[in-house]
Order: sequence, then C-alpha cells, then structure tokens
Amino acid sequence: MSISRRTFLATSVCGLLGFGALGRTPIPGRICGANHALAHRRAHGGFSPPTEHRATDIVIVGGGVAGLSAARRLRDAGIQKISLIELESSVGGNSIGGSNHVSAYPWGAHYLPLPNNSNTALLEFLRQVSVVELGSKPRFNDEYLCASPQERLFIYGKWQEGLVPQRGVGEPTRAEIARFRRVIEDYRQRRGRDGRYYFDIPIRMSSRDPDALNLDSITMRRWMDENGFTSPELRWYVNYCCRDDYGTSYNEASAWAGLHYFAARRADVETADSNNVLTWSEGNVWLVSRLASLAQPDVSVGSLVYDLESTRKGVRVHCFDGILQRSYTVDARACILAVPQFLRTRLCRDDVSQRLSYAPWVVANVTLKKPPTGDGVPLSWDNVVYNSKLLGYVHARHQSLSQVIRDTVITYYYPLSEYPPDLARMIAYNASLSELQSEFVAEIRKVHPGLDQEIASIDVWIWGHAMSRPTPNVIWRFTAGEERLPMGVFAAHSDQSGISIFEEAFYQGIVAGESALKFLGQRHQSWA
Amino acid sequence: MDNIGKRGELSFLLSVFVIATCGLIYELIAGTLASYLLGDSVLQFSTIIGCYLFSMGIGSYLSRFVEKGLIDVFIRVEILVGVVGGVSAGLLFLIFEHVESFRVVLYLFVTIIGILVGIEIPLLLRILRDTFEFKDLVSKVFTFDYIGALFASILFPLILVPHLGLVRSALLFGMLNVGVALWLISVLGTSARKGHKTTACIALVALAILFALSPQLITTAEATGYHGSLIFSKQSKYQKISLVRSGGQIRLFLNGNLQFSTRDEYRYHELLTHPALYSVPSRSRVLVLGGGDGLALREILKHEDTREVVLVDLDREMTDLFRTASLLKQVNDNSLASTKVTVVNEDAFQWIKGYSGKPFDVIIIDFPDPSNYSLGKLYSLTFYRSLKKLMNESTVVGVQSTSPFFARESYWCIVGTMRAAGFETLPYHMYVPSFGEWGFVLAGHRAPKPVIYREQSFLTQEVFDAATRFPKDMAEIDAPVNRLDDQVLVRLFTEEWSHYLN
Repeated sequence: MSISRRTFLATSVCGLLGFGALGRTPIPGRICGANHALAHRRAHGGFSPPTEHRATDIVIVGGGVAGLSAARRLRDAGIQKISLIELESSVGGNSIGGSNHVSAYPWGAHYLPLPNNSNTALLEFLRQVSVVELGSKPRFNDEYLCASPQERLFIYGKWQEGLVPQRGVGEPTRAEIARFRRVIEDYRQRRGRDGRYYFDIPIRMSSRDPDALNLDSITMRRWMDENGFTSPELRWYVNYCCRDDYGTSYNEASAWAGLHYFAARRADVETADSNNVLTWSEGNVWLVSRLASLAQPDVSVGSLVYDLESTRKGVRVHCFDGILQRSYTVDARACILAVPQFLRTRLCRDDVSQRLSYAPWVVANVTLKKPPTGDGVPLSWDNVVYNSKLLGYVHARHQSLSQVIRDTVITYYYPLSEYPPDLARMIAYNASLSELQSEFVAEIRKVHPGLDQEIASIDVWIWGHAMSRPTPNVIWRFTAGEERLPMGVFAAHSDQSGISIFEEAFYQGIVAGESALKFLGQRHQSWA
Repeated sequence: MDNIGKRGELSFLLSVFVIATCGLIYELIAGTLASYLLGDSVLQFSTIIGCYLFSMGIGSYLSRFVEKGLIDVFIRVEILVGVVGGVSAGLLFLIFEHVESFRVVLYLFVTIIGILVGIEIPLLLRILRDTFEFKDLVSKVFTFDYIGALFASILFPLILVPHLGLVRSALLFGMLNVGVALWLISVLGTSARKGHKTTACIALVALAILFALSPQLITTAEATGYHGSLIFSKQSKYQKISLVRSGGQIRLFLNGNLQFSTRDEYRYHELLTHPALYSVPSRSRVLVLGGGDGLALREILKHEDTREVVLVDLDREMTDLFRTASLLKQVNDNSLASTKVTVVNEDAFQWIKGYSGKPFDVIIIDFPDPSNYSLGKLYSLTFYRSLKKLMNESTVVGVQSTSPFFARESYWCIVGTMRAAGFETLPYHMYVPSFGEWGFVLAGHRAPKPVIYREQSFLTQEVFDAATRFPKDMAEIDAPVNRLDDQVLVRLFTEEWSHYLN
C-alpha cells in the first residue's frame, strides 16, 4: 500500500504536472500555506487539561471575512466583549497578503466587484471606510477603482484588450459571443415568479423559481451544449471564469453558479464602469484590516478550537494555544462558528448528508527586477494567457500613481482544477519549491521571453482547501438546508452560500451576528 | 648623434605622413565637437584652427630646447599625442554636462595637442638632418606632411564621422600615433630606450580597450533621425535625453519626442507661464511640475515678486544637466541655480499626495503628452482634484495640454476633466513653429482673467486675447472625462496623433 502510494505520488508529481528541472541556479523563495500541522492536531486529540478559563460575551471561531463581519455586526449592536479565536497567525482567511521591499501583494482574494445597489449592508461598510460616497447613486473613490488598463489576454501571439477572445476570432464565433452576451443580459434582468431576480447577491436574495433552480442541477458545460455554444474561444472563456471564481472547471461547476458569475451583478453607479472592481496592492487584506479595526475583537491567533459544548450559561469553547502549547477554555453567552463546513461538522459532530468538496489553489508571488511588457495592450491589472492552465497574473503595483515602475511583484493564480480535488491537493503538497516555481517560470518564458532572467524570487502559497466547489445541487439542494448546531452556536461562512466570494462571507457574518443577538434577546435593527 | 640607418629613414618619412594625418584629425574633431556643443560653426572652427596652429608654433619654438636624445623625445611625444588626442573626444563629451566652463577645457586640449604636434616636425627635421641634403629633407618631410593633411581632410567627413563617430575616430588615430611610435622603436632597435616599448604597448592596449568599449555617441543613423547633429545623448534612469543641434538651434528630445527648440521655445514658455502668473494678485510662491529644463522657470523668475519656486521633476539627471552644462545654462538663464529655486526630484503625483506645506499662488504644469497610461494619470480627474490642497482661493494653474488641432478631442478632454474636478477654466492656444498649433489651459476656483501688463518677446495682451478664441476647426467639442479607472485620454491621444505621424 505505502509503496504503491509513493510510486503513485511520484508519477503524479513529475508526470502529470510535468514539473521539470529548472536548469538554472535555484530561485529564492519559500512555500507558505495554512498552519495544517496545528489544524491536524485536532484529529489526534490528546490535548492537555485547560490551564486557563476565560469569559467573554460572544466568542467567534475563525477570523475570515465572515467572522470579522459578524464581529462588526455585534460591536455595532453594543456587545462589549467579543473574543475571536484564529488558527493562523493573522486574521483574514482567504483575504490575506504579504509584502516585501518592492510591494505589498495578495496571497488570496484580491478584489471586490462593485456591489449591487440593493446590497445596502455592504455599501454601508464601504462608506464607513471611505471607499464610496452614497448619493442618489454610489460614487466610488477613484483610487480604489481598478485603473486602466484593466484586463488583457495573450492570444495567438499578442496581447488584446479584455478577456473575451477577439483577436483571430472568426465571424461565427463573434456571432456566438454576441448571442451569449444577449442571453446573459436577459438572465441579468430576469425575475422569477416570486418577483426576485434569478441571480442575486447575496445568493439568498435570488429567486426560488424552479426554472431558475433547475439550472443548479446541470453543469455549466452541459448548459453550453444545450444552448448551442460550441465555439472553442467562448467555451475557453466560460471555463476560465468558472475556474477563476470557483476553482472548478465548467465540466463540474453547476450552470446556476456559472451563470451567477455573469448575471448577478447590476451595479448602477455614478461615473465609473459598473463592471469595474475595487482593488488594492495587498488585495482584500485592505478590506479585512478595516473590518477588523471597526469590530475591534479581542483576537487570539495561533489557537486551535478542538471542541465546543453548550453549557447552562451559553457555550464553552475548548482551545489549544499552538504557540504556548497549552489548552484554555472560553465561556461565552453565544458562539459564532465562522469556519468552513468540514471543520464545523467535526466540531459539532454533525454528520451532514452531503459534504462540500474543496478546491486547492496554488498562488505564487513573483518578484521581478523589471515589469512585464509585451506586444499589444500594455501591462494591465489582470493578465491572462489563452489556453493556459494558470489563470494568469495580477500586477501588484497596478494601482500605483508613480510614473516609473521597475521592480515589481506579479501574483499568479493556479487552481488545480484539471485534477480531482484530493489528487490535486496531494500533488501540490508533495511538490518541492523548485518544482512549483518551475510551473510559473515556464509560464513567464512562454509569454515574456527573457523576463525569467529578471526574477528575483518566487514565493508560493498552497491553499489545501481554498474554497468550496459549487458543483450541481450544492447551492440550492444542500446549502439551503438548516444545520443542526448546538444551542447558542451560529454558523457564519460563505460555505453556507455555496460560493466563496467576499459578499457572501460578509453577508453570512451579519446574518449569524443578528441570530446571536436575537438569541441573547438584544434588540436590533436588521441589516440583512 | 643618433644613428638611424637606411630603414629608419623610410620609417621616419612614413611616420611624418601618419603624424600629419593624426594631427589634422584631432584638429577637425575638436572643431566639430566645438560646433556641435557650442554652436556657431564658423566661429568655432576658425578659433579652434587658430588656436591649434598657434599651439603648433609654440611646440616648434619649444623644440629648440631639446638638446639630446632626439629620437627618445620624438617617440615619447608621439606616444603622448596618441594618448591625449585619442581620448580627447570621449573626455570632452563626458565632461560636457559636468564642467562649468566647457570652453576652457576644450581649448586646453587643443593647445596641448597643438604643442605636441608642433614639436614633432622640427625634431624630425633635426633627426633626419644628416641623412638627406637640406633641400631634399625639407621637400620630402613637407610633401608627406601635406599629403597626410589632404588624406585626413577627405577621410574625416566621408568615412570617419559617418561610420565611427567622433569618439572612436579619435581613439583610432590615437592608436595609429602610438603604433607609429612602436614601429619606430622596433625599426631602430637598440637606439631607442627599452622603457618606451612598454609604455607604448600599455598605451596601445588601453586605447584599444576604450575603442572597443566606447559607445557610438554620434552616429549618422541616429543623427539623421533628428535632422541635425546629436550633440549629447544619455539614457537616464527614466528616459533618453538627447540634444540635437541643427543650424543655429538646439533641440531637446526626451525618448525621441521634441521638447523644445531654442529657436521658438520662448513662445511656448511665455504662453505656458505668464498668463497664469498675470492672473493672480500675488505670485510669491510658484510651483512647477515637470519642466526640468528650467525654461518655464526662466520665465517665472522674470517676475520680481516671485520669492520662492519649487520645481518637481522626476529626473535628477535632467535637472542636473540643465543646471551644470554651460550651453544649457545659457538657454535657461541659469534658472535652476537660482537661490529662489528648490528642485525636488520626485514623482509629481506622489509628491503632491505627501505634500502638507503652504499652498502656492501659481502652479505651472509641463508634463509630457499623455501618450501612455502612466503619463495619462497626470491628466486624470484624481490628479486635478489632488491639486486643490496646494491651492488657495486665488491660485491659478497653467497646464500644457497638447495640440487642439492635431488632437482636438484630447485637448478638450483635458479641459473637460479640469472642469469636472471643479475648476473654472480658460482654454487658449497659439502657433509655436516647432510644434504647430499648441494648447494650454488656465484653471482656478474662479475664472482666471489674466492681464498681461508687461509685454514679453511674444506674449502681449492682444496676442493672449486672440489665443483665447478658437477657430471652428479647433472649437470645443464634447469629450469624456479622463479618469484613472477609464483613461479615455490615452486612447484619444494615441488615435488622434496617429493620423499625423503615420
């Protein structure tokens, strides 16, 4: 067993991915990732008896966007003591980033599309942090709106503007793309018999019309087939979007999820292009740090929650401090469990009928001694290569107001969506630094000959469970069901929406926060 | 008396030919350099030749003090001429931007080379005195001397300047000079001192290395692109700075784009600066963004009530060049060295964002045209809004804003963007021969109303009043606002100019 497994791994790593020798001196860099050594301790148990007992009003487990959003909701309602237990060394969840002498850069989520006008809770937060002025229409701060040029695609030897293939595309395909746009526009405006939009954000605001929900039972690819969208360029684009947002190919993503990506956004804003996004060098860390400073929770980082139980007074959370290597408990009147489903079910011993699967991602930050150029459209914020398994790179210094940029950082995103998630995870965890780096060096060589000589370093982050995968019947048949949670415990995570986007995590945090307020008998005005 | 033998005779005569060629080449190089860098070629060539010939006279006079070891001295001089002449052009180019009085150094070089060459022929005559009859000797030496001169004068303009450039030509002839010395040493065998051979070899190798390494500072290929002689070219950290002389004018190119011509830049800079300066009650504090050539600064400093000017230009090498090079100091009236001026070498947008000092009375903006997304940021709504914290109630901003004729929509896009930022604007334009029709905008919290109460070389109240009227083919048209997140200006500008450039 162990031999065959090892052989299998070796084949996977070297054969399937084609990781080759770099053929040059090693590139500086390091592999980073979630603290799975500590996370995996939970399975082995054997935690020493607690040496400290803390008490608080509300304890939040998990410091991602949902947990911080819940904390902000509770703080606003006047909750005094909010404790937040975070496994990693900093809060942020998927919205984390790093920095070096050249630039700040993201390690995960790095932008927020302009929210729909109906998403008042999110707009209000953005107003609090001076991202938007709310008048008759929202007016966004230019410095955070993604600057020109936003997107370029390397196709047939040259960079074109935008990600929808145009260069070298024949008339039948153009017509098909135009028809696709019309279908999408129709879905964008379409409402179900319940009067709600087919596709909305937060997802729970979407229509329950069976005609809409039926889209969740087939894959995006099947939907393309059924609707006669056959051109390779359009299919590449749609597949790209599914991989980009869900880490899942269009062979596997549900059509409802796939269409949601295109048809759920209806921002009507002052001056800016409503399809634009908000972005920062460090990615959504910018938003997370502002959420955290508004919520001001009492944060314990590097702590694992290994058990929780309902008590007479509320909830007791059992924690293990991975730094000091000792256990402690936190007693609270209520608990917000802002962790992914696979952790939540373990903590609550809740055997859900259907487990979510999670897409692993590899993110690489490449520090360059000079910026990438290229034939055609100049360096943009998002730079994508047609028919590449990588999702392209984002230029970390794109929003800079400087005239001259020499050293810079580009962030490559790679969902290993061509493999089943478990295999993909194994491949990623077993690859060496130079093997991982070689993937990105090869991609750089392909579109930027010579730029590989300007690489100063490549750091790689492996996300074992980056996001839940919205395969068919996950969003509507599964996540809509009520979870069995202990008394006084409320779940907050984008997993409850079924797609991993900032807006959903933010919303789920507010919903859980308000459920906890209700449980405590605290009067409040609902935001959601 | 030195004994040179039969073979030595011929060697010496051939060396006369080489020496003559080299001597004239150095002289021509110096003359060309002087007219490139200082202009007025008739004056430069005439004074350089005069100085050179006079120095040769000094050399001839000094030769009488050489009593013994004529051949040794001759070889030594030969090596020295090779080295000094060889490096002359390169050194002069290099120091051009650093030395206060370029002229002094130039004539010093000419004098030294002249003296050394001047020593050579009399020494040679004396060396060969016993070998030939006097009439033969004089006839032979001077025949070779004049043939060499003819050879040089043909070689220089037809072969050397077009193919090698000045720096490499000088080095090549330096090597020939030293080569002649080496040849003589080997032909004369023991009669020459051993030490000379080593010295000559070292000099030859050093010149050869310099030859291989020296960039072709001046090549015809480059120069013809600019329709003139490239007199200075440097890749700074940010841009390629090129100075070109053609006829009586000097033109500055940044990355190949014309910035000014000394023939008519006063028109442009008067239009850029004075309307803004004459729109405000007080002009004590002035800010210049861009304009590292110091020409706008020169106009500003004409206002005696201006006490303080801050100039923000990204490129330190640019401002250093225009502060130290004597030729360029003449052009900008040494404005960058004025005690009233503070030069800040920073990114303008970033500098503004970080600025927390007192506001300015006048702001002059002289950025390159918005030809790419980086430059386009300096013409964006966000940029113009950020100016407000540098302004008081009466501050007026003057902006160069490309051509309303060649890029009509671009021009009105800039005007419209400034209005969208909340400014009252006064657009105006004028013909600048080097550029064609050129556009500017005044902006302020209130509508600027300049009164040009002191006439300039070009700008008067009448001229300005005419400049504010736009004929139909440049008249205002609807144009979008240039935003950071939607840089329409870069697209417009590229599109509109492409009609004229292709």
